[in-house]
Amino acid sequence: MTPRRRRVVGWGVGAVVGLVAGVLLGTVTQGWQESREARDVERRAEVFGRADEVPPPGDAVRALLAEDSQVAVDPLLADRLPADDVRRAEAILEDAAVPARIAYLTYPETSHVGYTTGGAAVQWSTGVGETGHYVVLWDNGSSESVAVGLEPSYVESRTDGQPGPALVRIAAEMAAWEAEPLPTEPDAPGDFDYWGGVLGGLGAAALFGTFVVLPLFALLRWYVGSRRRKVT
Amino acid sequence: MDAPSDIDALADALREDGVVVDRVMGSGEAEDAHDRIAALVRATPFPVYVALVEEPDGLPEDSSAAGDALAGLLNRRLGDGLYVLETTSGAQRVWSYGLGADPSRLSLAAYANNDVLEESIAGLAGPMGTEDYVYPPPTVVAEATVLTVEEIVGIGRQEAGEDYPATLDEGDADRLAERAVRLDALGGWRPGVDDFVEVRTASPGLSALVGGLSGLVIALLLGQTLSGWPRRRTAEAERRAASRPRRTPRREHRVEAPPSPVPDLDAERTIARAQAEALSAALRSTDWEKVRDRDVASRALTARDAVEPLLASQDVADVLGAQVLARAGSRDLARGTRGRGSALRTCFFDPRHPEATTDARWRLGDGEVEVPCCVACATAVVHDGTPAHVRLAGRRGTRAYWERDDVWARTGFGAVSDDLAREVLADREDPR
Repeated sequence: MTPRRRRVVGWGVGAVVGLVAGVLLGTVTQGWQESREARDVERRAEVFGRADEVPPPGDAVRALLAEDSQVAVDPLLADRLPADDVRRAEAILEDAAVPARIAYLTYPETSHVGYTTGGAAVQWSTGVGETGHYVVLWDNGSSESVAVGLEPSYVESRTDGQPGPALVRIAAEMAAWEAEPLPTEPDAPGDFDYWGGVLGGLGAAALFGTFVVLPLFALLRWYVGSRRRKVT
Repeated sequence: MDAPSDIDALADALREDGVVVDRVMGSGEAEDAHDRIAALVRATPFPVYVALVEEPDGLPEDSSAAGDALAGLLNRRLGDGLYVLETTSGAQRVWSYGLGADPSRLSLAAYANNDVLEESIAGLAGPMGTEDYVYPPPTVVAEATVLTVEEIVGIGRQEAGEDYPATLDEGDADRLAERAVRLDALGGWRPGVDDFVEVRTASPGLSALVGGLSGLVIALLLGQTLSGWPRRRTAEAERRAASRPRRTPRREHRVEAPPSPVPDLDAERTIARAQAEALSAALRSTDWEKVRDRDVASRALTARDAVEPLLASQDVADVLGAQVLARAGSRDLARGTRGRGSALRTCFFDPRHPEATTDARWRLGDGEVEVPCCVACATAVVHDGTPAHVRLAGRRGTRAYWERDDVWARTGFGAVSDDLAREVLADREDPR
């Protein structure tokens, strides 16, 4: 076999084998990615179906639940809220399109108080049980919003300062909140492909091949056959 | 109860049943804890006061001093008895007034019981110092203290010693530990954060990229391997090449380049004669006394002897060989005279080419050898494998000179021979 023919045959065989191997490896890679995506989708569904088991509330939340009102005030904080503001807030919430309630509660500064910020809000809303929006206004001026049977909204009004006006502001905002239903199934996975599909991937492979693989291959050839390079 | 805002209010509240548990210290069950501890207090034969409260105003900033001050102020209002106090800014401690108990021994006895309680909690929740461990709530610690209040006061009344045995019953400790763990779980509960599960979408583009790049790499490596890698000439290869000058290049690979024309006999003879004459003239004019290296210079004499019979040959290969011999002789005479310089190194593919300055790997027969050649021929080998070379007339057209079986083929017109002249003379004497 002449050198030229040997080269032609060698490179021809290399090209065919490379093509077949590339297709196989691409197929294997796609299969592996699809199985990984299926596992992620399954795990997302599992997390979606998970529900918290709410423990029975402690004395503070029980005190809130004992109040049959749109605005539940911690008895220990009753003297901090003007009655007029409480009535105004209740009147606003009465007219809300979506049921809405506000609780005014002592912020849990210590670990011995028996509740957490997120825990108390959920325990209270779960105890009430009515579908709608719930906001806990803490006595330190912060707030926590949750919802029962709806997507929760988030308080944007200013909640610090005097608790009475803050209560009214929150009530006014909550009256405008809509009832966005909870999703009934987990989000479908996106179809975004960073590499822009098969053609994009092949284009990227061409770029990488041209600017990375081929120079490296040329370097390898030079290293192996540097003797001949001296001719040039 | 609502938090008393000052010492007097707290004393008044304690005066009722001896127990005040603020909600902030109740771990979610202040009222239940109050009732349990109050029941224990009622069964105690001496006054016991338990206050787990938000720190009243007016106490010193230092928590230890604040505790002492609170106990003293309450004692002044309520009288003698045992005081179990804890505020939001200090740890739970025990004070006694008028009971005849040594304060230090009393405290050590209470701490011993607390240790038993903590061990029980550690057995349920997890070892102390780990995330799982649960610190006992104030109500549970106070209940343990009141439960054993008679025993610890008794220890406090004893003479000073080194032994402070725990007096909390193991069953009570386990029961209180269970309550502590339960209260911690209830009081620290918060809804689980919905972990966002990112779905790593299958990317056909990435698969194409992987397949494309891996296919390219495989194609390059396999193609190059099958067609032959350029080879680095090693010292061993160098030695083998040098030791293989007599190899007869009988069967080399077929060259597919357009065949070079057969050298013109008359033209080459004219050149050969001129070069032979130049050699003879140089020999005549040589002052052998001034020759620095006679061994080298004398090779010119051998070359002249080898050249002369070739000049009349009808084989153009002999005439080309004569040219090489004449030039090599002239070069040897000159470098022998000067005492330095290198021997003529002709191009393997055609001795008429410029002198060899490099090497190329060339297949001869069944193997490959490194042959000296000019830059143009080496470049041609690298690019298309077909350098211009001497072709001679044969029975079926022309063929490369190394396909013949003569001294020129064996020596590559001197390119792979150390002493062409001697080989030519030896060949001439060979009766073959």
